[in-house]
Amino acid sequence: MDFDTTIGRREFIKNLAISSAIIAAKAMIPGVLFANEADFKGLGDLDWNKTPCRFCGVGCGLLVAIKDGKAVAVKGDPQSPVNKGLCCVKGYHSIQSLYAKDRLKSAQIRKNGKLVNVPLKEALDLVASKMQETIKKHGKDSVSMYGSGQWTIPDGYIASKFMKGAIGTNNLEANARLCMASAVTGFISTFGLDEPMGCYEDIDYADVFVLWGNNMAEMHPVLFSRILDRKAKNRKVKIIDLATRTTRTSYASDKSMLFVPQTDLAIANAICYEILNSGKANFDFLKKHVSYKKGKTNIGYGLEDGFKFKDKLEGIDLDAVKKFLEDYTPEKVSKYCGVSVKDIRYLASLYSDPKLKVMSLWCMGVNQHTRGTWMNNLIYNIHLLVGKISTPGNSPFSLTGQPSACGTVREVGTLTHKLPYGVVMSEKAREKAAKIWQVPVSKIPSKPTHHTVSMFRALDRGDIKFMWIQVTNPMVTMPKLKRYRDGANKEDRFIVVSDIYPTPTTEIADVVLPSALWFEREGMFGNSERRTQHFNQLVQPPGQAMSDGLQIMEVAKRMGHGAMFPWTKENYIEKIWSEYSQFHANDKHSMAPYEVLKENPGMRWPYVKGKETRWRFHAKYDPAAKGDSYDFYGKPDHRAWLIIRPFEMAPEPPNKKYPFLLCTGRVIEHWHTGSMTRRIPALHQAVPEGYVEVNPIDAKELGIVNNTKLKLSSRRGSIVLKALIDGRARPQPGELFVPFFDESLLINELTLDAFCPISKQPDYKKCAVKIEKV
Amino acid sequence: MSKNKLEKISFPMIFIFSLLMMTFVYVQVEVFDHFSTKDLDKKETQKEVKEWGKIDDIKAAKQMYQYLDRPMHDNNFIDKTARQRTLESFYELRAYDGAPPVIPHPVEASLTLTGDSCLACHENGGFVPKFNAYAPVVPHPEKKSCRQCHNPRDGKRLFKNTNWKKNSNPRGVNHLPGSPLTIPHSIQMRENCLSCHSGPAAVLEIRTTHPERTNCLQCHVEIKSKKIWGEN
Ligand code: SF4
Repeated sequence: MDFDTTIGRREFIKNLAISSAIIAAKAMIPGVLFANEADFKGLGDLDWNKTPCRFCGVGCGLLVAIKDGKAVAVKGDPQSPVNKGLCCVKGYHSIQSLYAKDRLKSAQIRKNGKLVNVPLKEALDLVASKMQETIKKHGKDSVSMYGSGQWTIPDGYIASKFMKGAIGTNNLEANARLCMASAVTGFISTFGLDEPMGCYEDIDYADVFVLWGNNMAEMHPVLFSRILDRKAKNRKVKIIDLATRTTRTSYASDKSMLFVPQTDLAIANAICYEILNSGKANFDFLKKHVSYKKGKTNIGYGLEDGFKFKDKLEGIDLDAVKKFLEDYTPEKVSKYCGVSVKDIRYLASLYSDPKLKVMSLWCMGVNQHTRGTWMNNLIYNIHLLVGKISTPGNSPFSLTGQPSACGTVREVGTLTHKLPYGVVMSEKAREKAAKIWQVPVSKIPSKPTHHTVSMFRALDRGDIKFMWIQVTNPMVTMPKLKRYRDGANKEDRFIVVSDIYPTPTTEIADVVLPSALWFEREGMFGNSERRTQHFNQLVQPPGQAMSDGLQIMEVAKRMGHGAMFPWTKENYIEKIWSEYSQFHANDKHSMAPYEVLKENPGMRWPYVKGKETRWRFHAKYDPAAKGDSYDFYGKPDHRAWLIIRPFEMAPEPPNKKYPFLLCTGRVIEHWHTGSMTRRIPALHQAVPEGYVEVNPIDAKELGIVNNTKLKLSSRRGSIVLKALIDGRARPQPGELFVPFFDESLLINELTLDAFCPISKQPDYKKCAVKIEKV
Repeated sequence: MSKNKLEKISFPMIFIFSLLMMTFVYVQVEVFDHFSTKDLDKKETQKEVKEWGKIDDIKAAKQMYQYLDRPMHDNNFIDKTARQRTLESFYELRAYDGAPPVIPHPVEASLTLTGDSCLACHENGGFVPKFNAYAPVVPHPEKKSCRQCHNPRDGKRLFKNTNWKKNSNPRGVNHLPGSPLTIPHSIQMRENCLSCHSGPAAVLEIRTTHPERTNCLQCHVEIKSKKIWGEN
C-alpha cells in the first residue's frame, strides 16, 4: 500500500510537471487560439481587416470583419506583436460603438437655445465666419482649439498646421494635457527627449515588475496578461503592486504595498537612499552616463488664475545627492508613508540586485499628481542609480492612457508650446515648421499661450471667445467642472464641438459637427511603445459625418487658407504622412513610410534603414546612439540627468470638515467618459452607473452598506452616489474612489483644479471631501 | 446503508484524498508559491483592521488569481473515462440558478459538522474512485460551515407535490459573433470561475477552452443590468 502510493505520488508530480509545461507552452502564444477557434460560422465569407483598437493606449491590433458595409465581428490580430491575438472586453465589443441609435449624423446649430439640424455646409460656413469675426474683433489669441489623444495623427497634424501655421496662434491644446503631460516633462527633464526608451518586449524579459499606482489589470489589461504570461513561464518573476487602493492588480501581485497618497515621492527617494547607502548603486554607470541636477522647490499648485512657473535646473554632484537623500531614510519615510521599513528595503533590494531585470510601470497615479513631473523624474532616478535602463527587461516604462496620446499629441505636438518638431520657443524649430508649411517664420508665434486649465480659465474670463472642441468631452473631464461649464455658457462665447454622440459637451455647443469614427475614415494612431499603426477606411461614415481633419480643412478653405491644405478627401492621409514625416526625418525619430505602415501591424519609431528601434539610447539597439553602450543623446552632455526632487504635500489634505480623500479613475469596462462604451450593451450592462467605493472599516463606522445613498461634497460641489463596498476594489480607510465615466454623476464637480506647475497636468486623485447619508 | 459499510468506504477515500491534498499543498508551497497572495499584508497596510476584526478579501478581485496556473485546470490532465458533470446533472441538484446544490452522495453524520471533511475532497477536487468521477471544486472554500446551506438528499420522494417550476437556466450571450460571452449569473459566492468552468470536475458544456489565461474578467464581464443605456 505504502509502496503503491509513493509511486502514484511520484507519477502524479511528474504529470503535474508535464501539464504545467503544456500550460507554459500555451501561454507563450497567448490568444492565438482565440482568433482561430472563435465561432464565426453563420456569417458567411468575411473580410477581415487590421486596425488598432480605438480605446486604450495599449494599442492592440484588431481584426474587424466587414459584411455588407458594416462591421460585424472582432478578433485579436495574431500578427500584432502587441497583443498576439488577445483583446480585452472593450476591444472585443469596440465596433458596437459605431452603431448606437443616437449617433450624430447631421450638423447642428443652436437656434433659440435649441440645437437644430442644418445642412453641413451651413454649419461649416458659420464656424468659419465666426472664427474670422472673432479674430478680427479680439485678435488671434481669442480663438482656440481643444483636441485629444484620440485624434488620429493626421487630424492632429491638420489642427497644428491650421492653428499655428495658418491662423498664427498657440491656442492649441489637447486632453492629453490631463493625462500624459507629466510623463512628457518627466522625459524631457531627465532625457531631453519624449517617450519611453524601451518597449513592450521588456515585459518578456523582466524579472520584476514594480507597478507605481497602476491598476494594470483593469487599465492596461492586455499588457497585464502579458505580464501574467511572463510569470507563468518563469516562476521567479515577481509583481509588486505599490498603490493607494487594493485592486485586482493587488491580488494578482506577489506583494501589495499600500501607501498614503502623495508619499510616493518620499518612497521613491527612500529607495534611492537605500540603493546608494547600501553601496549597491551602479557607480560605473553613474560615472559614465549620469549628471546630477537640482530644481526649484516649493513650487505651488497653480490654483490661481495667471499662475506662472518655470523650473530651473542647476548642476550638483553625487555628494549633494547623498546629502539630500539623508532626509529620506526608510526609517524616516516609513513614519508617514504607510509602507514598512522592511518593504522599502525589499523594493530597493529588488531594484539593485544585479541579477534581476526590473521594469517599472506607471500611468495616471504618477502623472495626475501635483508633483507629477517630479514623480516621473524620481522613478528614472532609481533606474539610473542601478543602471537598469535601455536594455531588454530593464525599463522604466511610462504607460499611456489614450490610443494616440503619444502618436498625435506628443509626437505631432498639439500643445501650446509644441510644434511637430521642437518647441515654439526655439527659432530653429519655428524655421523648420515655416519651411515645411511654406509660411513666413513670423507667422508662428514664439510664445506659448494657454495650457488646458489656463485655456478654460481664459474662456471663463473672456480672453478666449471661441473654442473648437474635437474628440473629447471636457464638460465631463475638466476638474472643478462648474467654473468651466459656466464659463463656456457665458453670453458671447462661441463653442464648436465635433463629436459622434450627444454629450454634456455638445450641450454647451453653438455648433455641433458630426464626426467619422475610427475606421469610418483612414488614419493612424501611435501607442505607448512608439508604435505607429495605420488603419484603412473600412465602412462609410453615417449621414454628413466626416473626419475631424476634413472638417478643419473645410473651415480653413473658407477662411482663405486653402493653399496650405491642397489635398483631396481620397489622398489627404497619405500626403499628410509624407509632409509630417519631414519633421522627424532624422535617426532619432524617423517614421516608417506610408506603404510600410499600411502593410504591417505597426512600426516603432525611430524607423531607420527599414528597421524599427526597440530600445533607444543604447548603441546596440539604437542607430542614433554613438559609442558602444549608452548614449543619452537627448541632452547636450549625452548623459541622463538625475534630478533630486523632494517630498511636498498635496494641496488639499483632508481636515475635520472634509475628512476623506477622493480619488477618481476608470474601470475596465468603460473608456473615459463612457460616451462610447456606455452605448455598447455588454459594457453598460456590466457597470451601468457610477458609484463610490468606501473602505469597509469606514462603512462599518458610518453605518454604510452597499447601495446606501451618500452625498459627497467638496469645497466646490456635491453629488449623490450609491456606496459600493468591496465590489472590485477597496480604497484605504479615509479614502474614497469614484469612477468618472457616468455623465449623470459628474464627479469632477468636486475635484480640484490644482496642477503640476511643470507639466500643468491636474491632479484628479487627491482632493478633500465629506460624506453624508441621504 | 449501515454505518459500518460507510466507514469502510470513506476511510480509504479520506486517506487517498489526504494524500492528494498533501500533494497540492506541496505543489502550492514548493512549486507555485509565487502565485500565492499571502503577502497582501493586512497588518501593515490597514492598521485599524485589528479594531474591527478581520476584513475579508475582496473576492471578486482575488478569486480569479487564486488558482493561477494549476495543472488541474489543464484539460489534457483529465481522465476522460471518468463520469463527467453536465449542465443537466448540475441543475438537477439546484432548486434554481444560484441555489446551493444538495449533496448527492452519502455523508457520514459525525464528519459533517464543519467543512474540513468536505474540503478534503472539495477544496481542490480530485478523482474519487468510488464514484468514478472528479469531486467538484467549491468556489468558496473559506466558508466552512457547509451544512448550513448544503444538505444531503435522502431520497427523492416529495411530501406533497409542488407547483414550483425552475426558472430557465442562464445563458451567456455573445454580443457579436466570436466575442467573449458575458457572465449571465451573479458571481457572489462563485467568484472562482475555474471551479465550475475548468478542471476535470467542470461542467462539460461550460468548460473553458483557455483556463491558462486566468485573467477571466479581462474579457468576460458580469452583467448587472439588462437595460440598454438611455432606455427606461
Ligand atoms: S487593452 Fe486597450 S487596446 Fe487592447 S483591446 Fe483592451 S482597450 Fe483595446
